[in-house]
Amino acid sequence: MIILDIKNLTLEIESNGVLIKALDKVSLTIQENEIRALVGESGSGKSLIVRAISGALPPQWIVTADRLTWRGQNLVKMTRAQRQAIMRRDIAVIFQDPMAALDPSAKLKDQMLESVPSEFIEGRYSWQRYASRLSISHKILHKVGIQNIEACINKYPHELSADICQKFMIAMALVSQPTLLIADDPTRGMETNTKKQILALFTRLNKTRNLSILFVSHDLLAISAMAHSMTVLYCGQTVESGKMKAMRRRPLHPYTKALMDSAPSFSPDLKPKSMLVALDGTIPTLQHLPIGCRLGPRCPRAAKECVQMPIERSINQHTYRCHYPMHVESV
Amino acid sequence: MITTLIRYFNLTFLTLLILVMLSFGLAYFFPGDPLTNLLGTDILPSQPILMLTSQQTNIFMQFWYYVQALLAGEWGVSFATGKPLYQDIMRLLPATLELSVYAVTVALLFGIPLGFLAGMNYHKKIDNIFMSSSMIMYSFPVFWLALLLILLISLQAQWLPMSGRLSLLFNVPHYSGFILVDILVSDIENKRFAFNNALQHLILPTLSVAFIAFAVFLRTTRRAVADVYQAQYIKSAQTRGLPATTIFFRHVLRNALLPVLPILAVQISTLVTNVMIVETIFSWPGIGDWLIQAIYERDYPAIRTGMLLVSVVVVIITMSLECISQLIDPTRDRFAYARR
Amino acid sequence: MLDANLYEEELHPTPLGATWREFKQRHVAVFGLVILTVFIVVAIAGPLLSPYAPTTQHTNALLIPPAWNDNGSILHILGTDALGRDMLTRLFYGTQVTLFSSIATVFIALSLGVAMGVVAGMSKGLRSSFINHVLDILMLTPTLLIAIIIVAILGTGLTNAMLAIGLALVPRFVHMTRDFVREEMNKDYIKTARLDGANLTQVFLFNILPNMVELLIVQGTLAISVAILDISALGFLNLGAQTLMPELGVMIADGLSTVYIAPWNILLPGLSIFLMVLSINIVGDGLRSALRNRLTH
Repeated sequence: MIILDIKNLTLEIESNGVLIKALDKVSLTIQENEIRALVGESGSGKSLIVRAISGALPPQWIVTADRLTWRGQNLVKMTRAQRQAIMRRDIAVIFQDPMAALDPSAKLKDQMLESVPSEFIEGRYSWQRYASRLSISHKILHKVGIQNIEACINKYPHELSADICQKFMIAMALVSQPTLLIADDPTRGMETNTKKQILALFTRLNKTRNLSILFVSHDLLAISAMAHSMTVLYCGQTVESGKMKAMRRRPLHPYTKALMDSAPSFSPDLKPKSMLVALDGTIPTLQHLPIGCRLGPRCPRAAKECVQMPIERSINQHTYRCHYPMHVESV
Repeated sequence: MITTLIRYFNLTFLTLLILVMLSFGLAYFFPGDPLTNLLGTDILPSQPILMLTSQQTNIFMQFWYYVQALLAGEWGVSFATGKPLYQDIMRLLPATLELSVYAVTVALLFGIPLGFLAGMNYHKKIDNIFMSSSMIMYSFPVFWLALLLILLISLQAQWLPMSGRLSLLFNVPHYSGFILVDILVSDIENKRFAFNNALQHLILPTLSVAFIAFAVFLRTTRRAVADVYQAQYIKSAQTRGLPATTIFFRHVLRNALLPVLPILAVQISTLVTNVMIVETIFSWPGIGDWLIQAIYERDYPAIRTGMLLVSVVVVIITMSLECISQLIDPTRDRFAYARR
Repeated sequence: MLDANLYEEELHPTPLGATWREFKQRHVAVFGLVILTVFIVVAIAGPLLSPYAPTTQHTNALLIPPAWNDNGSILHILGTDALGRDMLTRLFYGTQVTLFSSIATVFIALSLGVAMGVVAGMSKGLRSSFINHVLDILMLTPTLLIAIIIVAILGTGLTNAMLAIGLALVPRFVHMTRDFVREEMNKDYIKTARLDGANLTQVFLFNILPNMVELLIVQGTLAISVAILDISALGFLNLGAQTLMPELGVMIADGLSTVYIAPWNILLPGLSIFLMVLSINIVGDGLRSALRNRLTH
């Protein structure tokens, strides 16, 4: 069953009097109990999608979508209270930069305790409720792998390393036992060991608790091991999405192909000392986006039609937007 | 915490020492004989000053006796009145403090909440109205504003008195120097009328000073609140589904007020200048009015002592505010040297 | 064939150009700039336009109200004061004195402050802490007190008032410069320059100063408004410019004795100060937010 369904999400930002489509008709679905990877280069709008879903956008940005629904409820038209309730219980978000996402003037303990949903708290009197909050927090902090909880919990964010702060963010996100976890590059800048722990934790939660995860990252290697399906984003457009396996075996969009090729470990038949494949050119700036398919000027297979935005086509739950897809003959 | 306290104590002590040295040096810079400038007259009431006058001691010993005399409350004698300065200043200082405290209170009471209102409606209509009116408000020259108030409210409409602290009809015994307190503790007849009268005298000077301070507080608070609301951690708290009231009281309020306090500290010296100017216009019997009279009369001992005292008060208040803001702000770098 | 020039039409305005573009979009700020320009033009050209000298006393025309009043005279458009001096002429001269002395004061204080701030920001240890402490005391002392002391030592006069206000302004600039320099010195581009062998002077001139210019412009603009307020306040208290000089604050003080019958004598000079300060504040504020917007975009 589809829990989060996004169809043609467009996000417009006004800059110097011109409306720029930072996200252009992005579509994304998340099934129950699914880990979906959202992949793209930096600046491709991954974080914007996360913020559009969670509603953490500046009011002057314009969001339009054919569908942006949570279990069939329209998130855009929802009242603030309803949305807040969903964010509190069902969806949890982990942001990129833990130091910025934690209140610098409050102790981690306070921030942790206030994230515990009141439904989980037992006891009638305030001290009982406090103790209950504390024990729940301790459990979850232990689970995310913080060693000396007592020492860390009484500190301010700036006194701890970014790794530990990120673990706190993860704990705060998981404490409400959400159905969907949106993780915006949670392992960025972490050391390898910690990264593995966190990814293992996510995988375990996905298996045992039926947690769905939208995992945003550009680390293809880490994602491919755990994700069930993948959506590739380029310059605010979804170029391709489908099952992880199918995407790895037969990428349909030239950009996905290029992305896979740029990571050597994805091409087992790579000859020693051969050139690493990469697309020519650079990502265009937001002010100078090409019309039609935004990959156009860089695409090796581009032709006349590419100035038209290709419509979304789908083969076996594998959707893509390209006029000249690769491997289509063999599918 | 204790290191911070000690550091601020040291800093204040050093600053005060330099101030005392400056005031001592002033006696030498002012025209005329330095010793006369220090003492005011040739009357020698007690021992330290006696030593000071003796020509044999060198300048360091003179300074040492000067400090002793200051601590002993022998601040010299006014050229103009011939009375000891200590008594004069102790009578005047409360009046100035009273005016300043009321003005700051009024400015804070209105400035901070309205600043929050403006900051929470950042770039909306209400914010723009507040911003443009506060811009107009702090562009007012304080003396002109005071004159306008007198012209319109005292002379034209005759609503409020235009000078002094209290009508001459009332004779309130001196107790603390704060007129409202004095009236309340005294047992004169018509206590109620006296109180009202004192309040009426207070309104215009307080308004003139508060008007400008209010605009500054409003703008500072609004900026801080707007910045906090745009911060990532508020967005992240919102995505955690916390209710808006929780976010406001637990995250916004503290983070927005933290940067306001140091700015308040910086504003103190501007505020004192404004209070002093307003005092002269409303003939408020405070230290500002007195100092400006002193300069007209070339009353050097009075200038020296008045300057020392006012700066000591300003330094102590500013330093305590800075210290408090440092203590309650966990993110401040405690080990940064000196004040930022 | 598509060549590499596909994105070349992108315009790269200079930092100042970009700030100006942002500034232009704020109509209020531009309006403030227009008023300020009018004041500057009046300050320069006004004395040339006016038929009278500021000190000429028209003994047959004392306390004439402005021309739109029934008793007004077209010869004195804004009326005359108690000594029969033409108000408009005096306002022209007063704007000149007040505005230009403030600008001069701020300019001198700014250069001094930046120089000291750079020394304080680049030096460490005892020297830096000494500069900081002495300046903190100066900063904490109210402007009026500094002015009183200076007047007591040197006597009254516009120059002495400027000196006092300059002294009170210097610490602001030192603080600002010091904080800025400290912050920049820790950044990598300065370290790169140091590694390339640049000495502190070169680092300041070629790396830090260009980044600081806009900050200085904004702070300098805002300081001018403070200086105008202070200079006129000192003039009003008879501690600054003396009675003969057509300074706006002095003019208000002069008008006090006849305030009952001729309120325009204090209203008009006050209004000029107010408008001058307001326009400067609007421009300064507009510059500041233009700068902030430019940096966030």
